[in-house]
Amino acid sequence: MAPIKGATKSKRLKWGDLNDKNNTNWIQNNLSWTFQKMFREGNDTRKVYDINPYVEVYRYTDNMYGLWNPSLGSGGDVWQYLIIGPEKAMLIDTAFGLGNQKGLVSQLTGNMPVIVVNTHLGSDHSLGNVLWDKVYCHEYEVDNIKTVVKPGAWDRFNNDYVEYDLKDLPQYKDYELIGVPDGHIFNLGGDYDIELFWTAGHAAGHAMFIDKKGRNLIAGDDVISDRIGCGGGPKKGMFYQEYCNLTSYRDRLKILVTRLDEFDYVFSGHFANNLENSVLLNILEALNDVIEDPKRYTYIEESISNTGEKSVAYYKQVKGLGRIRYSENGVYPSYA
Amino acid sequence: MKTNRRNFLQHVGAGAAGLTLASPLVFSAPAAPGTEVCSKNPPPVVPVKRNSQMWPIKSGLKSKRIKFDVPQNQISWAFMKELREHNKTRKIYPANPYVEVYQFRDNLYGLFTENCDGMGDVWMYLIIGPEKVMLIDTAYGLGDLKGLVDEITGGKPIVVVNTHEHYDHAYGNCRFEKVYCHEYLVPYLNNQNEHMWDYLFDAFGNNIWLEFDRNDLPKFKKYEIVGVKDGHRFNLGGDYEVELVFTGGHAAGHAAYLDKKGRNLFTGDNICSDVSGCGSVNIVKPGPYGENTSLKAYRDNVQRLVNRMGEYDYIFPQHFMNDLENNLMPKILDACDAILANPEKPDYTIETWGKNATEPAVRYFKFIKDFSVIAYGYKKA
Repeated sequence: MAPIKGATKSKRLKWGDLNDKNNTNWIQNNLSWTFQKMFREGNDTRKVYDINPYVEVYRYTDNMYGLWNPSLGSGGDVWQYLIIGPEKAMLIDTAFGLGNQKGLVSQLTGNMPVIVVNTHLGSDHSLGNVLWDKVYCHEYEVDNIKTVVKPGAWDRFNNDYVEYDLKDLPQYKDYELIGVPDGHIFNLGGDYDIELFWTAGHAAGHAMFIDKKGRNLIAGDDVISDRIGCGGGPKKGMFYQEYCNLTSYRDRLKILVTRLDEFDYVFSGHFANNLENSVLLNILEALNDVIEDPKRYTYIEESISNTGEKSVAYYKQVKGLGRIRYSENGVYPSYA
Repeated sequence: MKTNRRNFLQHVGAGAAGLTLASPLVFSAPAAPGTEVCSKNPPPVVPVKRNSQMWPIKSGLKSKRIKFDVPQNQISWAFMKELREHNKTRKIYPANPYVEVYQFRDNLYGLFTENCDGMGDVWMYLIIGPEKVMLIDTAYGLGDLKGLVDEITGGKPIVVVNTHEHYDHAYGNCRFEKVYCHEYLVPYLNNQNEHMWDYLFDAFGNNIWLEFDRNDLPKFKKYEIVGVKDGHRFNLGGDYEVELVFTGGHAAGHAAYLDKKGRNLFTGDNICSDVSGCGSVNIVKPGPYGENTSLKAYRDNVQRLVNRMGEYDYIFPQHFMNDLENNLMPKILDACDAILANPEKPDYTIETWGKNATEPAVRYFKFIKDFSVIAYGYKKA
């Protein structure tokens, strides 16, 4: 992870504590880092707008942008996606909310009305919600996002991993968070529909968004070229935590792959994107293999916490992509 | 990558990645002198289906993909799509419309060309030193490769080297007067002849995998092949040295090239973001020095490259993803060691049936952490 020549106002200081053997967050895989270096340093559509110097804007198609945001911690840098329909635009995820996100979106869309949605509760995907008046998500994720996006949520950020102006972080404000069921259609004008597809896995109410007109799938953190954390198991305090496992995700993915003719490319929440839709079949194959026998991992990583507690993370390689990470209690639903 | 023609034959009519044509794929390339052409029986019309992978990448190249052999993996394809469609340094020179030129460093260019057969598209690399330039590999030689290099470099003297002898890396050698390689590669390069491109065309003279003008292939001529030993240093002027590092593995005389000044390592086909075919456990390839295609021999050479990681920062393979960080090398060593410790326990296997085979051929695969996969040959006792 040698520095990538970025164009934003932020500056990466470190990815993690190199002396801490238990901190593996900072190590991103060779595939993802190489992809990001090639992409960010070479892409001829890259642009940083004065209105928000923390975001690199990439144009994928005539009506779709990728908004690259630096991670403010040790996790991977984050993608937001902006789809411009005939009458409205859709912003998928709000990152940490650093800088003038709303102004940037207004500039890109020509002041169109914007439908803002979340893939899941992750702070790197949802803290910018407070910049908007109304945000949509899957109905299972409403209460989970509320546990993340709350007063004081930004207090932990202090330039330890990334250098930026702390004044550019947002202040908490109330906003409307609206849960919708699986299959909900958002209309961007005319026949431009985007469907929320509930996937579970990485988070209880994790959702993907199918842009039927643009033929793209915005996949959040359930498709990642590095580590797909879709089998973490029940998380303390999380609502609908019984869905944070490989089986729940697999069951949803089985349905999604029957719809591969509705989209061509897959856009992830981090790292490599614009992946061909067949990559979902490879993830499904890996999930099925582990669900059939959880011992069919590719490798394991053991770590000991500061309190001396030993934990084991299991990894299953996905052909042509990254790896699935799961825990012992993250393979099957807790209600099973 | 080397095309397994038998494998390809199983795939005939199975798809045509890269095209969504509804019309039959019949290209009327002129037949080479001496090639028997039957005009009475044109090839049957095979309906073309869209493959589930490897959809067309927008390109300004003169060549057009008809079909691929085995599918390439998603991350490699996504990387190449992004690089080829949006890299701001991409340039196609009139001197050679079959090559996309990318500038990776001030003095390092990647020359991308489509594979003339059904396997992965190919990188050549061009390093510009103070007085001379080095061209690593020559692909199929499609188009005026020397003219292109001269245009980029301003006509500096060219040191041409090969990583290995396979079609997609060394068939353009005859466009140059002299080519260097590891000494074990010499007997393989000596086998080159005027018919070596024939397999790219069917019995009717039509291009099989890639549409291009047959007249743009080189006219074969003998050239000087100079074998050198492991550790040989090529001087590009001043203190700019590039060292040949023998690796074996993918081919008996396979070599990597270490650009000490540029701090890059060019690894040929031993490292690949799709499938790294870098040796067999207990199957010896026929041919001179075939023992160097053993995974153990390759593993020991990887160990040497791990020991020298202080001399290079980035790795440039000859296919797909490149500019990889050097910390990949120990992970490859780990994967080799894991295979050698327990070759019967791959991460997965793929069975293929040859045309007249009575039993399947099994290929073994082991993942490289954070990267792709090693494919290795292994025969159970």
